[in-house]
Amino acid sequence: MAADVSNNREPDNARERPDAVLAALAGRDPEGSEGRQAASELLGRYRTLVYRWCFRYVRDHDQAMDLSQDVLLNAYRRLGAFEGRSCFSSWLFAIARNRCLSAVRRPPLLQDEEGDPDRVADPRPGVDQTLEERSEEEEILRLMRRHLNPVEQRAFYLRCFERMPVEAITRLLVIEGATGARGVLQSARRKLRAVAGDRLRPKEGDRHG
Amino acid sequence: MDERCVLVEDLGELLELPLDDPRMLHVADCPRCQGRLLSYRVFLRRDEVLEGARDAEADACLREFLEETIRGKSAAGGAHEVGEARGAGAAHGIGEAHEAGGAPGAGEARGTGSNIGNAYRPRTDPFRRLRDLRRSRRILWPSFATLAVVSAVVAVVLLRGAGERPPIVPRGDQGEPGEVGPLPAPAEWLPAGGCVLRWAGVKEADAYRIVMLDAGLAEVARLEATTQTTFTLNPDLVRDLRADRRAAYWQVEALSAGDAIASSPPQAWLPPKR
Repeated sequence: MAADVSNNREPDNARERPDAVLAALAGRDPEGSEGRQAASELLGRYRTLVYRWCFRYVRDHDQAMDLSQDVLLNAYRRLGAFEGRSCFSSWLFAIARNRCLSAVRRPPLLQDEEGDPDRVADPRPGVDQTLEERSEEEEILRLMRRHLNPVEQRAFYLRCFERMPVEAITRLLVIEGATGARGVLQSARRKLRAVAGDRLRPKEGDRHG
Repeated sequence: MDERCVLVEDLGELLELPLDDPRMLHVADCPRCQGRLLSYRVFLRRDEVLEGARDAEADACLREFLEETIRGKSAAGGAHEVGEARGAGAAHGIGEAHEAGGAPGAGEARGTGSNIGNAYRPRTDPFRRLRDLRRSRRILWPSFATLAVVSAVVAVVLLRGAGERPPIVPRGDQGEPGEVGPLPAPAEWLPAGGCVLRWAGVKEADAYRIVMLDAGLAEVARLEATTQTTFTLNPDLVRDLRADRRAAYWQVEALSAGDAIASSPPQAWLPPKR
């Protein structure tokens, strides 16, 4: 994997404070002037990254802005629970990732303002469904390890579990060729179908793959 | 999930590890961890061109959003503090919203400061009214003064009868986390493997419910309602919730007639290191 990214946001100059310091200040004094200033500075560092992450999922500026605001607001409210055991960037990433994954699983009502609220099921999966999905995921991962090559494994996981767009996977994994990641995904599916048969049912978010 | 799999919130540490670290060796063999790590790397990328994304415009709008959300809390109490921050905050990225330029599609906002927000109006913008209010503050100032005097008189009258009225209980997000909701104490881990959760109750609540959250603060389980202000998780339940390290936080919801009326902020739920 190419090391073309920086991890925790490094201060651009010596006067900037590291993420961990800002997070500690914001968590210690959330209502005070210093705490708010620290929270504003910390979240401000990542606002564009959050927007770009959301945009990758929804491919629409307005929707990405709505999601970004949700993510930043959630993160701000929960800064007090951030205890510094992990990097702030990955803590924020976890919030953004969950928000986007749940957004792409939303029922149509939340995208269609004229939908009937009484006919929409609770978007949260039930216990049975969660267990089934987990067990299915474990099974798929086991098959992936055994039957797919490393590029296929990565592409398949990113598409089916992280719901990453095909074009983004092509760029990320630097897959050359006319079909890019699409061809790799087709090959991976063929192999998995051959060994798993009907046990693999298509995922909701996998329609475009 | 494999016990060795890396939690999403711990991905940042991975990038610092040498390749021969046991966790990295696991990543090298695990499609799930590789996928998550790749996603995290994508999240951190600043150089990628995204077709259709309006980075500069989004940056200006989100900057204003954060300022309204975080700094704007004090705007209602006094513009003094905000003004100070704008003056002193240049080194910290605060108060720069009014200097924004170069945002495609936001040209009319340049130099006009508070018009930057016009570049983006979400369909459900909870801060629109606050923004509009702040813009019209100069015009409405005499009305506000009159309103303030009337409000003070009304408040005095109402306060006299306050003893007879039940206190107002904010619902859902209307309340400030931790101020009106149940106040949790740190989890107590029992030697046998169980865990005791305690919290200070809420007057109007007739029951409480425990919600377990994962590292990304997504709900993973709800535990039965209790009328007490303590809840004991037996070792089996702890083991189940910790089996794939999915539960990392807990919070308690105060219930009244089955409806959640307030909730605590998430609390870390990690067993002590042995």
